[in-house]
Amino acid sequence: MPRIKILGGTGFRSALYASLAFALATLCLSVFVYHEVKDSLYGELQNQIQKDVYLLQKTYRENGHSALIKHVQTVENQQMRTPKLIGLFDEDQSKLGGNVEQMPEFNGWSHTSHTVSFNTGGSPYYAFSTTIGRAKMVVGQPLGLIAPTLKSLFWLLILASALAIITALSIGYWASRRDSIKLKGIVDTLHAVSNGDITARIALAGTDDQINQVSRQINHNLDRLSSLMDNTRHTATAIAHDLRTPINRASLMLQEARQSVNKQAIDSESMIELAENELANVSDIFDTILRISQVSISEDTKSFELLSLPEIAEEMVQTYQPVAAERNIILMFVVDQSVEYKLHGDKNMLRQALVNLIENAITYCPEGADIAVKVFNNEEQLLSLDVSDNGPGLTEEGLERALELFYRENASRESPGNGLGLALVKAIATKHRATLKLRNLNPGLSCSLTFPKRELI
Amino acid sequence: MKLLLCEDDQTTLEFILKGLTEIGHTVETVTDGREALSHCLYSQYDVIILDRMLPGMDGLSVLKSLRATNNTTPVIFLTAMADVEDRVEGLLAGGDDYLVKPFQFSELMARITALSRRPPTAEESHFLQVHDLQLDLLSRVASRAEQPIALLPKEFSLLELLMRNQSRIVTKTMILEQVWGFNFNPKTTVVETHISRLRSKIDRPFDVALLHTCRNSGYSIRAPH
Repeated sequence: MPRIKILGGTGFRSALYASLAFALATLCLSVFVYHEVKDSLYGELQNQIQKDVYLLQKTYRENGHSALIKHVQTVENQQMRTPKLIGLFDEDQSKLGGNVEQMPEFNGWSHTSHTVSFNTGGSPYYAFSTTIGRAKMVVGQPLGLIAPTLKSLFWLLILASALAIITALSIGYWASRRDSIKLKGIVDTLHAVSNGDITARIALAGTDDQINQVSRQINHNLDRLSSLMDNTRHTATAIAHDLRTPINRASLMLQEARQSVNKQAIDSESMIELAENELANVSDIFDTILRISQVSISEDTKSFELLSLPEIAEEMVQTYQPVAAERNIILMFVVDQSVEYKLHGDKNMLRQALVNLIENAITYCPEGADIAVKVFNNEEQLLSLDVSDNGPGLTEEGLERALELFYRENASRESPGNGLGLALVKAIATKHRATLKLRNLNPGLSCSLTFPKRELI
Repeated sequence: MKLLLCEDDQTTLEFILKGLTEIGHTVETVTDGREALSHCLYSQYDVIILDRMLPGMDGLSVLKSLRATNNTTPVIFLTAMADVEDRVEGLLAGGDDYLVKPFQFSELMARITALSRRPPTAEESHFLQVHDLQLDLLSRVASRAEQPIALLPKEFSLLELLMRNQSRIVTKTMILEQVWGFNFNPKTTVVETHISRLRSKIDRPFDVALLHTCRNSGYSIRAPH
């Protein structure tokens, strides 16, 4: 895997930001610790020096100049091999006592840089110099361990920070690499899918992290996509197959019309009209297929409103009663008027579903049959719409396959209908989250739509 | 009448152009959406026939831009089925109409006529009359030769639609859309059946027939010459 991808990963980037923040915090902390330690070490030295200075001043105050010289010399003798610094000089810079050879030029506190002027072997001192009477006194303590201690403290803090940053970055790199491997799996899968392998799915491995959740959703979408693709492929095949017939017929009729025009026969116009009807049929099939796909694909329900199902059903029954009467079929509407049957739905779609069901019944029932359109609450108190007749019903195969596109029980192309009516009803039902059930009543067929419980608004 | 026809398919364009010119309309044609808009802005037309899919600028955008300039020329939209419900219907204003492709030329003609003769201000009369047939829209009473005729609600709506368009052809699709609110083609003879019922009530008992079937195009109600 390219390193650049890992370094660009979120895991690594978060680790990078975290370690930058950490480094900044460590820097501040280090500066603080360093100064605290330095201050307390110097403070301790100052205490010791001030104690010595105080003792010498006390000797001078109580016993005078010569006692001071003696005191210094005593201290020097006691301290010969200890690293303490002590010196006393006259006004003319001549040494009166102590282990310092040359009078320092400073007054007050001074740092190691001035200790080079002390001829005591070159090790650094921290010293205090002041005048005492006519003499000048200097007292110091070796810096000894302070400088190396501070130095190692400094490097220790740097090292600790560096270690922490490296660790954070390593963890980030590892996390980013792990994510990159998973993301690569997603990319590879999507690539395979776009290259036509619609069965490819992302492998879910390891802990259930956010990437796995995303992967699962992508797999879910791919499942849906492949089922839609299957559907589309099936539809396309069915369309190609079913449209050939009317187009063939139209073309035959047009050929015949041309011949009859040549022969000066009179029926050319009726032939052309038949061809037109066939083409109208083709365009009708396209319309219906487009409607079905439009209803099934679109997820939006903004056309939904609160409707009274009996109102729509009654209007459709009244519309079709005269049509049924022409075939001596009685079309009835059955509803308990005292109950309100409301639902959320699309008025146009529900009208179309009812029209398709009623027209199916009128078309396939023999003369003199009865058709009933019922609106009621079923055993589970769910709103139901039922269109049933006492006609021939369907065969077992027909019951199973009636909702398929282009399925017709009597497969002869001469029989009326295009085998799309129920498929459209099914799509409309699904859009309303309703179930469409067909069953034989022996005799007769019942098509019923059962709507889900209406959500409270 | 002066019409603007915007259609990018040359065959369809020539077919419609020929048909409309033959019945005496002046037709200007464009094949590009942007061109259509500039024509609409610089000339006055009685009706604009606009294809939904146009190169340059699609039909809906042309319509929207046109309406944004307060141009109220009626527009007939030519559209594919899939667009009707969710997109086109909602955008069309009162003076507009749409036709789903493929369509019969007679259908387009009937709609152009219906749109162009609609009075610009809807000065609605409550009383319609054709020969001796009268329709009172307020009391919802129909009568012919002073004899009241009992009509079912849908029969009344059907008669009202025909009488509002008297002497003009009302197509089957227009009837389905305006009387029943159907935007689909039923497989059975709903319209024919209802027309024949209506005819048996308003024409059969009388000497002169007012309701005429125009073969292959629709129905028309008119007074005898």
